[in-house]
Amino acid sequence: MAETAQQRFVCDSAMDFLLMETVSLMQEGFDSIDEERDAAYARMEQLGHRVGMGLAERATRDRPRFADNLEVVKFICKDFWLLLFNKQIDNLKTNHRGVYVLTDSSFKWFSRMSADVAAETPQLALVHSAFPCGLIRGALSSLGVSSSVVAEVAAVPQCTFQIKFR
Amino acid sequence: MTVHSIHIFNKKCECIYFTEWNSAKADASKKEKLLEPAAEEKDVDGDPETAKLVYGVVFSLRNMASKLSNQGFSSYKTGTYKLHYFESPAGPKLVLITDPNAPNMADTLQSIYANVYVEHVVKNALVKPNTPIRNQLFRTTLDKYVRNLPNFE
Repeated sequence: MAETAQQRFVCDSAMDFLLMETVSLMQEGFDSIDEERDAAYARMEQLGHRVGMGLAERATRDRPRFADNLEVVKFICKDFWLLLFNKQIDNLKTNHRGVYVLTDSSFKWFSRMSADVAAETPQLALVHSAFPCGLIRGALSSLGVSSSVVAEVAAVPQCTFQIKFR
Repeated sequence: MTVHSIHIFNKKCECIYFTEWNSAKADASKKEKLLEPAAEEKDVDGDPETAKLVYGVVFSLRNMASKLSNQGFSSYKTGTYKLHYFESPAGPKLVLITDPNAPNMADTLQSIYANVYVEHVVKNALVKPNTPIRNQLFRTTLDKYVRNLPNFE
C-alpha cells in the first residue's frame, strides 16, 4: 500500500487536530480542574496504549526478535519515532538499571502550543503528553516488555519521557 | 508607511484581537503607553466600542460592494488613514489600519492570516476557538512580523 507524499501531508494535520480535540473531549464531565486533568490523562494514556501496540506490531513485522531491552528502547527512539513524527528522539540516557530517559527537543505536538501566560504552558501541555506516553508503553508491551512511562515538560516544545522497566 | 492597528473578528462578529502600534490620534500620553503593545494587557479588549464601529463599517461596505459589483471590498482610503480588509474563507476577518500612503496590503494580510493566525491560534492545542486571543506566542510573532514590514516606522 504505497502512500504518496501528499496523502501523508493531509493525514498529519487531520491527526494533530483530532488529538487536540480528543484531549478536550476527555476532560468533559468532571467538576474540578484536577479531576479533569487526571481523568483526561488516564483515558488518553489508555488510548495511546492501544494505538502503540498496533503500531509497533506493524512496524516490526519483518524484523527479527530484539536481543535485549536496550535494543527495544533504541527501536522506539529511532524507527518508532521516525514513523510517528518523521524525526528521531534527540537524546537517550540510561542508568543501566532499567530506567531510560528520552528527550525530544522539539516535540511535534507541542511545537505550536502557547498559553496566555507563558509560564503556564508546561503545566497545560502535560495532559497532551499522556497520549505519547501511552504510545510508548503500548509499543513496549507489544514487544514483550512491561514498563511505566512518565512525561516531563520543562519548557515547550521540549518533552522528556522516562521509561521504567518492571 | 506606518501600521496603526489591527483588529481580528471571529465569525460571531466579536473582536478577538486588537493591537495598536502608532496611534492615529495625536494623543501624547496614549502614544507612550502604546509603544509597548506586547506588555499591555488591555490591548486585547482595548476599546469594544471602536471595535464594534469598525466591524459595522466593514460589514456594510462589504455588502454594498457585493451588490454593486462582482469583486469584494478590500480597502478604503480617507485623508488620515487607510483601512484594509481581509476575509478568510474559514471565518476570521482581519482589519488593518495604516497611513494613507500605504500600498496594497492584501498579500500582507493574507500572510498574517496564514503564517501567524493559523500557526499560533488554530494549531494551538491550548486555545479554544473563537475566544479572545491572549497567548504570548501569537502576540510576539505578530508584533515581529509587522515591525519587519518594509517601511514600518
